[in-house]
Amino acid sequence: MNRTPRTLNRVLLGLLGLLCVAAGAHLVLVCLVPAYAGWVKGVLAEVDASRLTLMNDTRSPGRDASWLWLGLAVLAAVVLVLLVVWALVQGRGRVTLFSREAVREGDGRGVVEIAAAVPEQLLRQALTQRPDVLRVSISAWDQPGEAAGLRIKLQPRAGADPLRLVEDVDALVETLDERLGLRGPVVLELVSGARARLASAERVR
Amino acid sequence: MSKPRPDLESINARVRRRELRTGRSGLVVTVVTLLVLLLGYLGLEAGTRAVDHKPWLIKPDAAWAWFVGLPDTAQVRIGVIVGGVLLLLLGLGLLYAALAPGRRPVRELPARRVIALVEHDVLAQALVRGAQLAAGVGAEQVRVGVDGRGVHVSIRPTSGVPVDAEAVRAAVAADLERNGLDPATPVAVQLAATGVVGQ
Repeated sequence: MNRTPRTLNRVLLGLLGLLCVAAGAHLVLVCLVPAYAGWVKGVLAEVDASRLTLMNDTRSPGRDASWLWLGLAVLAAVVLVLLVVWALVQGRGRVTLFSREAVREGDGRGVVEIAAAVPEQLLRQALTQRPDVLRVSISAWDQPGEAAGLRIKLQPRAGADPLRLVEDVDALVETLDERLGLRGPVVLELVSGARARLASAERVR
Repeated sequence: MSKPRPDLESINARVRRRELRTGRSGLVVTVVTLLVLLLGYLGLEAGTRAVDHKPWLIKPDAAWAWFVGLPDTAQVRIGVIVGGVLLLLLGLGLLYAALAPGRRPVRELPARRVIALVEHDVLAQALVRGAQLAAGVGAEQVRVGVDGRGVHVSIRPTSGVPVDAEAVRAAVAADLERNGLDPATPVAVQLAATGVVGQ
C-alpha cells in the first residue's frame, strides 16, 4: 500500500545482476579459456590505445592528469546521489491526513480535513478489546482517490479463527465508512508474532 | 474540480496486486549501501587522480593495467577465478530477485470491504485444532505447515492408537473451506513412524 517503486526496483536490480554476471563471467573465462583471453586482449588493447590518446589530448592545464578523471569523479558523485534517492523512496507513502476535501456552504468555502488518527483510533479502540487479538497496528497510507488507505495489522491469539476476525473487521470498516462518509482501500493483515514488525519505521509525511 | 477520482474497486485491485508480492525494498537498501561505498571509493580515487595527488589505496592506472593484462597479471589465478564465481553468483541472485514473482507468504480470505491477507503461520495455527480433534491426539502432537503450494500436516500418534489420516485430511479441507479458502488446496497428512508414549 506504500509508494515503493516496485517496477523500478526490479528493473534496476536486474540490470545490476546482469552487470555482475558479465563481470564475473569475464573474470572466470579470462582465466580458464585462452581463446577468450586472447580475443579480449585484442579488444582491450585497442581500447587502451584510444584511451591513452584521449587522456593525452585532454590534459588539464598545468597538470599531468586529464580532466576526464574529474569528470569520472563527478559522475560517481551524481550516481551516488541517485542511488541514495532510490533507497530513500523505498517504503514511503505513510500519511497523517486521512482526507482533505474542499466544501462549500452557501457563500462560505472551506476545507474539511480528517486526521489519520481518527480512523486509526476508532478501529484501535474496537479491536484491542477483543480476546482473540494480541496486538494491533494501524497506519494510513497515501492513495489516489478520496481518502487514504488503511493498513490494519493484527496479531491474533494462537489458533484464533481467521475468518471470524476478517468478518468482524469487515463490519467495523463498513461502520467507519458510514461515520466518516469517505472510503479508502483497507488492507487487513493477520500476522504471526515471529515476523511481527508492527511498528513501522517508515517516514511520515 | 480536478480530474475524476478513481473508484474504490480499481484502487483495491491495484492495492491487492501490490500487497500479494514483495517490492524488494530490503534488498534495494542493502544493494544501495554497498554501491554507495563502492562508488564513494571510486570517486575518491578518480578525484585524487584528477588533481595529481597520491592515490588513496590503488592507483587507477595500475588497476586498469592489471585488468587489461589478465590473466597474466593475476598473481593468484585461483583468487581471480573464485572472485569471478562469487560475482557470477551475486549477479544470478540479483537477477533472480528481479525476475522471480516474490509472492508474500500470505493467503487472501474473501471479504466484503477489506482486502484480507492471512499469513501462512496464522492459518497453520488455526488449522491445528481441527486436525488434532480428527486425529484424536493432543495439540503438541500435531504440526501444521502452510506454504504456497498447500497444507502439510504431520502427526506423531500416541503409541498403540491408530490415526485415520484420511479423516484428518478431510477435517483440514473442511476447515479451509469454512474459512473461505479453496477446498481443493492440496492437504498432505504425514504420520510419524514413532509415536508418543502415553497421553
